[in-house]
Amino acid sequence: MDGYELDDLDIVTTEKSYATSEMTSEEIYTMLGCDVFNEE
Amino acid sequence: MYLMKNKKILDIIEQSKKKHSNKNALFLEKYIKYYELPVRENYILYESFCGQGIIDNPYALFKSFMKRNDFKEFVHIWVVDNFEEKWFQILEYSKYSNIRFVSYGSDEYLLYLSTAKYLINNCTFPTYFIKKDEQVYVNTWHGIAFKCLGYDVPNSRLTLGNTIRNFLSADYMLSANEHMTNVYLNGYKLDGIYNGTIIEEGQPRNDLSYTNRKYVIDKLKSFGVEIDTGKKIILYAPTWSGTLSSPKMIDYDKVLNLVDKNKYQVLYKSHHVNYSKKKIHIPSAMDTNELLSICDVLITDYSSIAYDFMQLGKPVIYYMPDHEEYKKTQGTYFEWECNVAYNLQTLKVYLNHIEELTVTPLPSVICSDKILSMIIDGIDGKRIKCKNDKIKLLFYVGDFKPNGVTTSFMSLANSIDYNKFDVSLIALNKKEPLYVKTINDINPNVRVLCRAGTYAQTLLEECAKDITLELGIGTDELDKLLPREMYKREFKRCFGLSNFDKLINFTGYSPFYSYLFINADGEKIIWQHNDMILDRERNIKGYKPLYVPLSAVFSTYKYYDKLISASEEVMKINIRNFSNIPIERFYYAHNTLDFNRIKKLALRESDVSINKDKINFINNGRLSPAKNQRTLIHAFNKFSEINPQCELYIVGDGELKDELEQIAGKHVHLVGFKSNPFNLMKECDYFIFPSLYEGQGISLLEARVLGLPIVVSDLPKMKGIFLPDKIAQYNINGFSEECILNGLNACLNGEVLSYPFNAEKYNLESYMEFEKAICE
Repeated sequence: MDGYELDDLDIVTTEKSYATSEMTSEEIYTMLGCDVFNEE
Repeated sequence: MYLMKNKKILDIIEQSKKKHSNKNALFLEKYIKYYELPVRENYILYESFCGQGIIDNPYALFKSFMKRNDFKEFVHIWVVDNFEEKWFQILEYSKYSNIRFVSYGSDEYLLYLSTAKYLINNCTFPTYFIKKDEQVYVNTWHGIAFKCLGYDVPNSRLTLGNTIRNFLSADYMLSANEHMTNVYLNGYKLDGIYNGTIIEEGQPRNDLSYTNRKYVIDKLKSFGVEIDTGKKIILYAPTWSGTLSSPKMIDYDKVLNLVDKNKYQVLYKSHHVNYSKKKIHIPSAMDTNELLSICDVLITDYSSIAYDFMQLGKPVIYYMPDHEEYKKTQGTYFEWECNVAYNLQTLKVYLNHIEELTVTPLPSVICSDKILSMIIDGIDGKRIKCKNDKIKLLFYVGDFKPNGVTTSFMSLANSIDYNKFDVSLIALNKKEPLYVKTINDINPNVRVLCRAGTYAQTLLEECAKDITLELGIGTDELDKLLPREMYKREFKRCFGLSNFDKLINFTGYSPFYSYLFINADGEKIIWQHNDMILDRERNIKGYKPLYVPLSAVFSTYKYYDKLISASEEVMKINIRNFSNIPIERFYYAHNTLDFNRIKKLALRESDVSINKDKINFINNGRLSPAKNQRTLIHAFNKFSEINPQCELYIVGDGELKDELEQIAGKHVHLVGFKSNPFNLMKECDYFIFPSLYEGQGISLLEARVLGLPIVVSDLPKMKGIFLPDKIAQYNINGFSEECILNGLNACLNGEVLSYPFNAEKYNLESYMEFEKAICE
C-alpha cells in the first residue's frame, strides 16, 4: 500500500492540541505578518 | 523609536481566537489539515446513507470491484455509523487486508475523505466536504424517482443545499434511465451548471437483486431476522416521508393484521427512524436489493423500490392512504395504474388475492461491472454532459429583508430573459418564515443554491478573515492579509465543479460576499444602489452601522470589472466618489418594476380600513432618518389641525418606530410593515415621499403604477425616475416642515395630479439597461 496511515501523521486527533490554539494573540499577529501595522 | 503592535488588530485576533475555540470550529480546522494532504491513487471510499450499512449502489460497485483482477491493488474503505450493528459484514470481510471500515465523522473518516482518489456515495457527504481536483467523486444516488425530487417538491428551495452542492461537486452522477437523467437536469436544475458527467447505464444495486438465497437468509439471521422457508414473503417497505426533524411514523401493525400468517411471512423495511428491534423489522444495514431477491410480494407507496422489484417480475401493491395529501406536499412524477389501494379495505382485497395480482415486469439491467469500468478504466458508455450556451449568472442578494434591494431583485427576476441567461442565486440557510416565503416566491426559473453548513478555516485564516472584514483590503499590506485560499475553498465547497460567467454582487453591502466573489473565476459585478458614500455615513442615533462593512466593500471595488448604479445620476455621484476606479467600469441600470404583480396585489382587500370620505395621504418606506418621516409627521400634525379631513398612513418598520409613534398625532397612522402595501396605497389619494436621500425610489415607481398623485423631494439623484413633464410629480424644494407643508397644501389646492405612466415601457427600457450593463 502506498502512503501513510493515520498514526504516521502529525495531525493531532484531539481538538485541544492544535499548535495554533496554543498560540498567543501576539504570536498570531507576527505569524500573519501584521508587524507592518505596528504603530508608535 | 519603539513600535507597538497595532491594538485594534490584536483585539480582532483575540476575538477570533475566542470564536475559534468552539468544538465545531476546531473540528472544521482539523478537516482542513487532512484536506491539505495529498490524494492517494489506489484508495476508494464507499459511503451509503452516511454509513447506515454496506448497502445500495456503492455496495454493488464494491462487489463488482471484488471480481476485478486489480481488486487487491486498491484499498477499499467503507464508512459505517455503528460498528456493533455491522459486525456481521465487518467479519465477512475481515480476511481482506485491503478492506477497511471507518467510523462516520472520525479522524480516519476525515483522512480518507480527503485523500482517497475515488469517493463513492449514494447520498451526500457532510456539509464541510470539499472535493479536491485530483479526486473522483461518484454520486450514485439511490433509486429511480417516482416521488418528486429536488426543486420539483413544493417549497423545497431552502432544503436542498447540501444535496445540490454534492451533485455539483460530483464528477459522475449515475442515472438509471432517461427519466432519472431528466430529474437531475430539471428537477435538481443541474442543466446548465453541472460540469460533471451523467452516466446513464442503470442502477448498480439491481445486480444485488440476484444474490444467492441462502446467503441472504443467513445474513438476515445475523441481524436477528429468522426467515420461515415454508412461507412466501411479503415485504412492506413504505417510503420515508415527513421532515428530517419530524419524520412520518408508519403504523405497520395495521398492514400486518391483514395478512394470512399461515401462508405468508411479513417483513417490514422502514426508514431508520421508524426502526425498532422487532423480529420483522429489517435493519437499515441490510441491503434492500439483496432482501428483494427472497421476497414474493412487495407493498410500498411512493418508493423507488417498486422499480427494483418490477425488474424481478414479481407483483407490487401500492398502498397509499395519504395519496391526496402526498400529492400536494411532495408530488409524484407518475401514477400507478394497477394494484393501487388508497385504504385498508382495498389493500385487504389485494392481499386475499395475491395470486391474481397484476405483474408489470421491467427489463432487468445488470450494469455494475460496466459502470465501474467506465469510471476506473474510462471505457465507452452512455455519458451525458449537460451544457447549454446560456450566460451563467450567479447572484448574491443578501438576506432578503423587506427593502429596496429585495424588491429590485424580485422584479428583475421576473424580467430576465431566461432563454439567454442561466440564473443562480445564493440563498442563506435561514428559517425565518418571511425569509422562506420570499425565497419561495422568487421567479421559478431562478436556481436557488442554499449555502448549507459553514466553511472550514484554520485559526490563522479566521484571524486574517476577521481583520480584513473589519479593516478592508485598501492597502497592499491588508490586501496581502486576505485569506484567499479560504475563500477559494468556500466557493468550491458551495458550487463544486461549476463555474459562472458573471458573479453579481447585487446587494453591494456585504464584505464577506465581496471577498468571496473577487476570489472566484468569472466577471465580477457589484451593484451600487445608492450614493454609497452617503449610505456609509448614515447615522442612526449617533452610530453609523454601515461604516465598517461598507468601507471594506469599497476596498474591493478595485477587483470588480463593473460597478452598476441604480440610475445615471447615482452613477455620476459614485464616479466622483470613487475616482480611483477607472471610469469605464461604471454603468447604470434602473430598477425594473414588476407592475403586473403590483396591480394584482392592489386588488386584494387591505387589513387597514380607511375612511374614503377623507383625503388620505400615504408614505411607504423604512422608518429611518433617510426617509424623513420625523419631519413629515411634525408637518402633518400641523397640517391636520387646520385640515382635519386629512389623514396620513405610514407603511413600514424600522429603527425609528418607537420615536415616530410617540410624535404621531391623531391623524397620523403608523400601520407597520406590509408585505402587500399596494392595496392600501391604491385606496389613498396622494403619495408623499419627502426623503433626505434615495438611491432607487422604488416606492415612487410603485405609486406611479397605481396612478397616485406624487409629492416628492427634489433630489438630484431621483431625477432618473422623475418624468420629464413637470406636472408628473410635485417636487418639494427642501426637507423642512415648511417645505413639506407646501407640498401638502398643493395637494388640497388641486396642484398635484395623477399622471399617466407607461410601466411596461419603463420596465422594458430598464431591463435593456440591465442587459447592456452586464453584457457590454
